Amino acid sequence: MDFMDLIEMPRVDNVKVYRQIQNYELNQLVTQKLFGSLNLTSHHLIFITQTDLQKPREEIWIVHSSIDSLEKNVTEAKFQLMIKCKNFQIYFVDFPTAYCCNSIHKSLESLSNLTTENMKLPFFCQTISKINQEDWNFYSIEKSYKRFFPNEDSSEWRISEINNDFKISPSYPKKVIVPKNIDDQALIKSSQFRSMGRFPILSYYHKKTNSFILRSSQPLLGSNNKRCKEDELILKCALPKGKQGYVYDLRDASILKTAVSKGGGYETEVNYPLWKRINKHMDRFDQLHISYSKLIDACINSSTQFFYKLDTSAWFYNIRQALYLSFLIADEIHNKNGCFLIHGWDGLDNTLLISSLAQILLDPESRTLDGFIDLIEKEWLHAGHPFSKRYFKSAFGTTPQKQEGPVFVLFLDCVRQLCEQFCLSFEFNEDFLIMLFDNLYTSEYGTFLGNNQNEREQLLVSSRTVSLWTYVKNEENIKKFINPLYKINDDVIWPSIFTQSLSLWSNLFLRYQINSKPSDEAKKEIVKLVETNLQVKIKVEKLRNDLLELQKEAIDVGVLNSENY
Amino acid sequence: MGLPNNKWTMTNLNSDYQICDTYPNVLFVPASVEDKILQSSANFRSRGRLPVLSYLHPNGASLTRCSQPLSGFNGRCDEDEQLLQHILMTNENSKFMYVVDTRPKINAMANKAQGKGYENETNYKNIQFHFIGIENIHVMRNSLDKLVKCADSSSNSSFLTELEKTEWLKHIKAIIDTSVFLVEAINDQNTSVLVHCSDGWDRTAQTCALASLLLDPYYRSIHGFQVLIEKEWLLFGHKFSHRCGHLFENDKEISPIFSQFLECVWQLQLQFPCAFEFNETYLIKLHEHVYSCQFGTFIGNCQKERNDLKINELTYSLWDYFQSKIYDFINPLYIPNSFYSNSVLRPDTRIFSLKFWRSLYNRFDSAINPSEKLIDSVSMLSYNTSSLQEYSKLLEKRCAQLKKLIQLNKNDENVLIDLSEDDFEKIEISDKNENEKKSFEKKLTLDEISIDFNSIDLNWKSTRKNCVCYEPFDFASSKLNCSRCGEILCERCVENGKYVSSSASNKLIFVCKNCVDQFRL
Repeated sequence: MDFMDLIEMPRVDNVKVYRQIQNYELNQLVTQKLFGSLNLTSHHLIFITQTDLQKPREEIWIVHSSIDSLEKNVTEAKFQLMIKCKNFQIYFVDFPTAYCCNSIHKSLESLSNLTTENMKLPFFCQTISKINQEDWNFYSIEKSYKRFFPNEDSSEWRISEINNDFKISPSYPKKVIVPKNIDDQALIKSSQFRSMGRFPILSYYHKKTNSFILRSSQPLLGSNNKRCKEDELILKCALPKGKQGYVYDLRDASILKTAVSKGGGYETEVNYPLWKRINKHMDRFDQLHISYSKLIDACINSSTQFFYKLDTSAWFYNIRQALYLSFLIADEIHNKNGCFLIHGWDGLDNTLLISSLAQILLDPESRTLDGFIDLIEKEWLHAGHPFSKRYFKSAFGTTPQKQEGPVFVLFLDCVRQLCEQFCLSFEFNEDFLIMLFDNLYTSEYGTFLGNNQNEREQLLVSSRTVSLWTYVKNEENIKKFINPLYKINDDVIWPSIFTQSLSLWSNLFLRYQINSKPSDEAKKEIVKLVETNLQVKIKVEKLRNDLLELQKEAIDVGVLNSENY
Repeated sequence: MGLPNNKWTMTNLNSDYQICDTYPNVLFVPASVEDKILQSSANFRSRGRLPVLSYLHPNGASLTRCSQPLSGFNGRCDEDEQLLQHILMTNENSKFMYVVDTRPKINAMANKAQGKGYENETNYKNIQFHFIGIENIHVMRNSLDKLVKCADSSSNSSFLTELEKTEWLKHIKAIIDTSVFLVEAINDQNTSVLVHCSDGWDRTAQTCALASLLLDPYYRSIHGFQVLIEKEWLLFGHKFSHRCGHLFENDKEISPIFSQFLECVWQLQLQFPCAFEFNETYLIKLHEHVYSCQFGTFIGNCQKERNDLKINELTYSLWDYFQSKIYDFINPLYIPNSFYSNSVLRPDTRIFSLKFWRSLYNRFDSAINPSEKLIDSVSMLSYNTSSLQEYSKLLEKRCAQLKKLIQLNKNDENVLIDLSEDDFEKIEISDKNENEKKSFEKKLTLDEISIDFNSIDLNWKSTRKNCVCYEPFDFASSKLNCSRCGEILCERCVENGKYVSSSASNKLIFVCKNCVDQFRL
């Protein structure tokens, strides 16, 4: 298939575009009406205003993949297309004829719903910056291993390359960390007993207390109650003496029976005697998608009962639940003797959410910019979170397969809540999280392409596209993402999870509705204050040195009385 | 406001509170109006609260306030109508003026039956009459009750739904919306506005005060805000004793009218973080002391009552206390010359832009508030910078002294350096005048230099830390670093420390009691 087959009309003139923009002086939204021509290219919808002596030419570029939903409104007098973007921006386009309206609508429907990964934007964007292999290899399992176990010899864990060809578990990375005295054969057996072959692997090791988090998918008990000795052995071997193991099953206890009847199941206490099972409910990704849609609807159509709508969207319920469960895990790991195995159904969504949040609470490293990127690589990209499926549509759209679910958006929102409660303890800022959100849905970078490492490797993502981290690490860009007030906090952070303690992410969910200028001004002022402070500190250091020098000189020439010494 | 001018004059008609006992003894009225008219208008207005000036905009449009007219169903008062014409005439830029009744129409109708009511547009020439529905004190009281319960509930899984049901933010929105209406009339349409509600001391005070704050950057300074409260609330007779329930009298009189005003200001601070000289703590402490009765400022229901109680002689003023703790109240992000600080504030009153005031309503629930408070660290940072700036001046001075000393020594072996405040100048003089060198008595010693050297700690303890006394902080309590040792002190321990003024520019620098003897700046 070629892009050109999808484009009937590459250009339409006499088009009106309406969008709401912020009038900073009046601090209110005004509707901007632009007149010009619309151009359709393989990846962009480009609107160019007519040249006018009074006004400079304006261009609006909309990437096809950023379009979430299209609504056509064709009447006798009006041929209008409403374009809702994945980043919540909304455009109205008036066409001169019904024919062009239909044609553009048809093209955009196809172009914005391309499922062929190979046709996606990052493969056509290598020119924006050079492909840097170092950034693609920024994270490695060895790096995590070294952090968890600085002394390899005394460690009870090893790196296994059993999944090197992605055969055992297509959604796992090539290398995983497993207990040292479990051989690869046992892993193969265990993988056959776990959904999608996702056997238990190490996610996080808490050096301070030698406790850890494992994660996997559900065991495949089925209705004839199968068991797997090797799987049991992994959990038995992993648990050191004196530790209490907990299987954190992120499904409500009431649906376990259904799971069993469908061939899945849970760790029975008879077969896993050292491990205590705890069932905690988290909304699944498809429910979360509904929650997200309701949330955005409340934000956009919020004249009445706004707080009630927010509440019924259950978005805050999900944030609270996620923070609460990771809080419980962090508490057990840091203050008590708990070790954890986390899973839900396939261990692709909520499992990763909870394990990564728990690490942010526990591990100061993950609150630095580099550590956070590592965490995203390890717990989301390498762990096989299906980015391509989950973020194919945003809050306005759905696909018939219903594979979308903004689990990572929920993760970002949880992290932002933490950043707000611990404004000094995170090295990165809110803008960094918003940047991640934007690249999640549509990006010029290849990082979030595909559903797992296997797919990314087949697509040759690392040699054909630029890594998002190349963009982040660019000197000019990185400044934008650093929290000026950051001071390393070596402690575990304990978030507050009352609804009062949480806030709506206005700078993201209300980004096209509120005026961010006053708060940007405040942010700039903080940066300025930090810089001034640094300057004066340098000055004082220098003066102190000068004073010492002069003092020495004064003593040498004998003008300074040193008899007290 | 440049008053009095040729349009507006000060009248002593109420010098003994004879016209209106809840108004101040000095009033501003149109210069063209006769006392007789004022007298009759007062008689026609509930409790004698006749239309008087609240704020005068540089463009000539005025904000005036009063109580409802005693019109009943068809009563009218010629003089009252004339007074409004005089007010209208003070502004050459508009052919008409607004009369804003801040009550819901149905409430105003109900008052009609009691012989009160609102202005009939046909009787008053060139006025445009508006109802804007802010609910009455009873509705507000009930709403607050619900809000406090809602904030308090430990099982707050449906907090947002509960918050919706309290309608509290809807009321806050109504107050800000009304004030924005006043601002747009005065600033954008150059049109004067007369505001009233029933007695003109609750909703009228809220909206006039807030409109002034939106219109005029002066009222967003610490001093200006105090003036605003004195003027619109204390002088114009907001019944603090009754509304705050200072004495056990009548439950039905209690209502959080002033609290709502403070909350509106807080909402504005949130939307315009660089536009206010004072911070959130200032509002929270103000809220606390309006109720605490620790100071006399908010005791009594009007100026006359406070005079009768001899409040000025018998009690301390809250403002003096605040002045002594001014460091706690400064907004470190205030940029006096930025666009939003300098211009009319136009708040966003869409409901999603209004927030629940957690740090007030959950002030003492440390588990609910953020563990690290942004504004504290920013305050610390700016305070640290100013201490270090003073410190660098001292170091520069010492370096210069030593240099001089070494240089002088090359000419004269027996120079002693005086360390009094103006020693720097003395050295300058001594350079010219050999004889004066002999008068230096005190020596510049190593000890002295060592004190200088350690006067300020470079790396202050983070605001994350607790006070050395381990007393936990409530969310509004202030934290202060000792400049010398860098330790964090809580509000109580601050009492043990001391503000020392620096020699370079008289800036006040704080040191704890352990360091105070070792400190010089």
